[in-house]
Parts: sequence; C-alpha cells; structure tokens
Amino acid sequence: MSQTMNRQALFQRINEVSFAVYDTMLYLDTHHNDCEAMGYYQEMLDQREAAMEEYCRLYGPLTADCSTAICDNTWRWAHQPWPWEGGAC
Amino acid sequence: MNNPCSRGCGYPYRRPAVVSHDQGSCSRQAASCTPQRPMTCSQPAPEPRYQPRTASCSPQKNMTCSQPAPEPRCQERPVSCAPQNNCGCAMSWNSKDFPIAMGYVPMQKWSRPMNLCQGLQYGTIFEDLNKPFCGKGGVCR
Repeated sequence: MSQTMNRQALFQRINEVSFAVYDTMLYLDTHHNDCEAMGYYQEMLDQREAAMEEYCRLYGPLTADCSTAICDNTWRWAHQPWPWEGGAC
Repeated sequence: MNNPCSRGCGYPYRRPAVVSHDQGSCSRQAASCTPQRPMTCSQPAPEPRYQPRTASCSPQKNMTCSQPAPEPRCQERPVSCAPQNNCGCAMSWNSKDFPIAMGYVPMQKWSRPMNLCQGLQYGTIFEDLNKPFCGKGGVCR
C-alpha cells in the first residue's frame, strides 16, 4: 500500500477492494469449485485487510474489530470522531 | 415479455381483448397460478402448434420461429415506437398459437475482473455483467 495515499484515497481504496471481495463472494456462491476465483477472493481479502490496517494505523479504526490491529493498549475505536463531528469520510 | 416471439418477429404483445374462460386462452394463466400442482405427464400433451426452436437458433439472431405466426395486420413496429404509445399497430393474438415461455440463465464464466475503481462505479467487477440500462436492451458499455 502506498505511503503517499491520503485519507480520502485510502478510504476509496478500501471501498473498492471491499466491493471486489463481496462481488467475488457472490460469484463463488454459485461456483463452488472455481479455484481461480477463490485465489482472487483471497487476494482481495488480503488487500482489504492490509488497507484496513493501514487506515487504522494512520487515522484510526474504521470498524471496531480493527481497533486492536495496532497494539498501543488503547481502545482506539472509542476515540474516533462521530459522524457529526466529521468522522465520516 | 410473455411471448418469446413477439420481439423477434416485430409483433408487439397484445392481450386478447376478450378472455373467454371456456377456451384455451385461459389455460396457461390457470396453470401458472397453481405451482403446487404436480407436473405429471400422464395427460396427453396437446397437439403442438409449433415446431420447437432448434439449438442453432441463437438468441443473437433474429428469433424467427418456425411456427406459423398469426397473420399480422400491421407491419413491423418502428423502433422508436414505445409500447405505451398508440402506434396504430393492432393485431389479434391468441395464446393458443404460442409455446409457453421458457426462462434460462446461462452460468457465468470466470474472467479476470476489471479495474477495481471501475468495478465499484459500475456495480460489478465482471465485464460480462456490466450491462447498463440504455433503453435498448442489455449491452456492454
């Protein structure tokens, strides 16, 4: 993941790769033995996880389950701004 | 699109003006309303009034069925003529003359997905499924 990505670009990237994960999942629902599709699914899953971790490291967790991705003994999820505080991208 | 031939033959689908329950025109509707009825083949099949389309008749081609189409009373509907518009095209249409519609969905084949940014924008990462509504049938961008 590029270090030069700003917050909005990184958020956009997470949206894109998350959609790819979901769309591939829909494909696999009807193609249970497609190894190529499963490989692509895993590839997108890894990219999504890496992007989510980077976002958490730079800007805070997007979801609560990412909150412990950075071990700084802080429940960072609670420190995020609320949407009305400008927390939503 | 109840009538599989109406599009290819250029005849717009028209409901019969008068539906008589003691004639065959209602039989298809009645069957479709009773899905729980077991589909046994014990009853003799009705006399086919059409020849089944052969496999070589691909959907891309003009779906000219080998059945004798009803005598048209109008020429082919112009492309610009929307169904709700009165284009002066009126023809008699009897459901007994047409086969029951058969729906099918071909299995998607895996292909390398498109650029993820485009995929999110188009609503699918698969080029094969990228068929925006253009008012003229499903076509790729």
